[in-house]
Amino acid sequence: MSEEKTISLTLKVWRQKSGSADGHFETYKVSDVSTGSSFLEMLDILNEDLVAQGKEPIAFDHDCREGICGMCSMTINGMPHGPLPGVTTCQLHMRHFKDGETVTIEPFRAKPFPVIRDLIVDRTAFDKIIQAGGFVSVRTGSAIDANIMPIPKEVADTAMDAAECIGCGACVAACKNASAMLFVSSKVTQLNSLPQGKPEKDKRVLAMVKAMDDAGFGNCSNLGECQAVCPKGQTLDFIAKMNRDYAVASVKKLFKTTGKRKA
Amino acid sequence: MSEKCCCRVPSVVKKYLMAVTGLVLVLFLIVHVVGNLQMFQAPEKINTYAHLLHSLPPVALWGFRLFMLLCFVVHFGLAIHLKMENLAARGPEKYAANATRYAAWSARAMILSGIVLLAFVVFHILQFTVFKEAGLCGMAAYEGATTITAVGGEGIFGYLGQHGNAESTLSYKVFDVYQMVYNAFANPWISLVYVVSMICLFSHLSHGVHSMFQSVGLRNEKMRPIFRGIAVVYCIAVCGGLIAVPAGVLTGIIKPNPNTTAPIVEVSCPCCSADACDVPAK
Repeated sequence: MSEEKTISLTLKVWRQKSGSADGHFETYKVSDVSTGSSFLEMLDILNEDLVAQGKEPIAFDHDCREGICGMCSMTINGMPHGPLPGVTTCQLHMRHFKDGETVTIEPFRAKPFPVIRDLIVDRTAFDKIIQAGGFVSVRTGSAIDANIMPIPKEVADTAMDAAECIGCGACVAACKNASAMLFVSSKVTQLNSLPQGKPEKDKRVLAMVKAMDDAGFGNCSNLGECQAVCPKGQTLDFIAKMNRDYAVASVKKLFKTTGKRKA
Repeated sequence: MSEKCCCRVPSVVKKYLMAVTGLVLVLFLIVHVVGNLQMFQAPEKINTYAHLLHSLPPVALWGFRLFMLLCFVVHFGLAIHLKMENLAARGPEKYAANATRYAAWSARAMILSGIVLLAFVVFHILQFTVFKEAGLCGMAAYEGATTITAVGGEGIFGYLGQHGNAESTLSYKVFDVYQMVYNAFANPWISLVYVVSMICLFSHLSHGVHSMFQSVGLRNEKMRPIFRGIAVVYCIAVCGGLIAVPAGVLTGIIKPNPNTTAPIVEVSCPCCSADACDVPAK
C-alpha cells in the first residue's frame, strides 16, 4: 500500500454551460495522477490545470468529502458514484482505475434532476418529497428524556438502517426507469417504523408518493439497480414496505371513519 | 408523465394493477397447462374436457373470456403506458455510457418479451379459437370427427367419470381437439413458433412471478429466496408443460387419434412442410 503509483487517464467529461444550453462531451488527458487520490481530487487537479490555461473549470457538486453529505453526484462509466459498490464519488480512489483507461463522466440523468451546469444537477425534487411528509410533527424545545419512549431494538435497527440514506439520488440515476422509489421508501421506512412517526404514518406515505409522482420520476419495475449502486446499502425491502404501507393507507383512507351523517 | 392531473393513478397503484392482472394470467396458465397435458392421455380425455368447457353456459364462458381479455388489456396497456412514462422520466439526454450492475437481462427485456407474447396470443387464439369457431382453415374437418363416451351423465359428472348411474352412459360426436392440436404441431414451423414463444414466456415470467410479490409489498431478505424458488419452479413447470406438447408430437410420443374421421397430418421435416392452413383433404 505504501508504494506510490501514478496513472494517466483520458476523461470524457460532460460540459454544459447552463440548464438551457446544449451540452457536449469534452476530452481531457490527465497524467501522473496518484492512485491514492480520490476521484474528486483528480478532478481538482484537472481544474487547476484548466484554470492555469485560462479555461473554464469543470463544475461538480461536493461538500463533506467523507461520504455522508450526499452532495457529490456524477455518473462514472455509466455507474452513479463509479464502479466501487457502497461508496460515494468522494470516497472512490484512483487505485480502482487502470492506467490508460478512458473514463466517461456524466451528470445524474433524470428529468426531475435538471442539469444546472456541467456535472451539477438540481435535486430540489427530493426536497419537495421530504417537505410532503419526511418529518414528524413534534413539540420542539428542550430535548425529552432519551428513554421515555420505549423502542424495540429491531425497530430501532430498521429505522437506523433506513436513515442511512443520504439522499444523493444515485438510485434515480441508476434506475433504468429513473424511479425514486428507493429514496422515498427509505425515508418512509425510517419514519413509519418509529413510534414518533406512527401518528402520521398513512398521511406520510400517501403524500410522499404523490410528491414523487408530481416531480415526474419513473415507475419502479423491481430491477434492483438502485440497491446495487446505493452508497449506503439501502435495499428493495424498503420499497416492499412502502408498497405495503401504501396499500394499507389507501384502504384506510377509503373507509375513513368520519362519525358524521351525510346531510 | 408529470402533468398535474387530479385523476392521475398513483405510480404505486399502477404497480398493484400490474401485479394483480399478472397474477390472474399466471393462475390461468396453471389451468391451461394441466388441460394441455391431457394430450399425453387417450384422445377422449382432452376431447371430453374441451367439450365440457364449450358446453358451459354462455354467460360463464363469455364472462370468463371477457375477464381474461380485460386482465390482458389492462396488463399490456399499462405496461406500454409505464414504459412511456419511464422513458420520459430519464429526461432529454440519455446516458452515453451504460452499465448494468444487478438487473437480469430478462427483467430489462419485459417489454420485448411482452410484445412477443402479445403477438403469440393473437396468433394462438386465431389459430385454435377463432378459426375453429368460424370453421376456417379446414377446421370443419374436425367437427364431429370423434366420439366420446360420458359415463354417469352429462357435463362435469361425465367428465369426472362418476359412476353414479351406469344407465346414463352417453355418446357424443364431438370436435376432435386432439387431432387438431396434433395436426398443427405436426408442422415443425408451427411447433417452432410455439417453442420460441414459450422461451419468451419463460423469460417474462422469470422476472414477473417474483416481482409480483415485491409489487404488493411481500418481500424481505428471508422471504426473497422462497419467492424466487416459487418463480423458478413455476416457470420450469409451466413452460416445460407447454413445450412438452409440440415436442411430444414431433418426437412421436403423441400419436394421431385412431378413431378420428379428420385428416391426419404426418409429422414432416421442416424443409418440405405444408402451410399452417393447408390441411390436406383425404
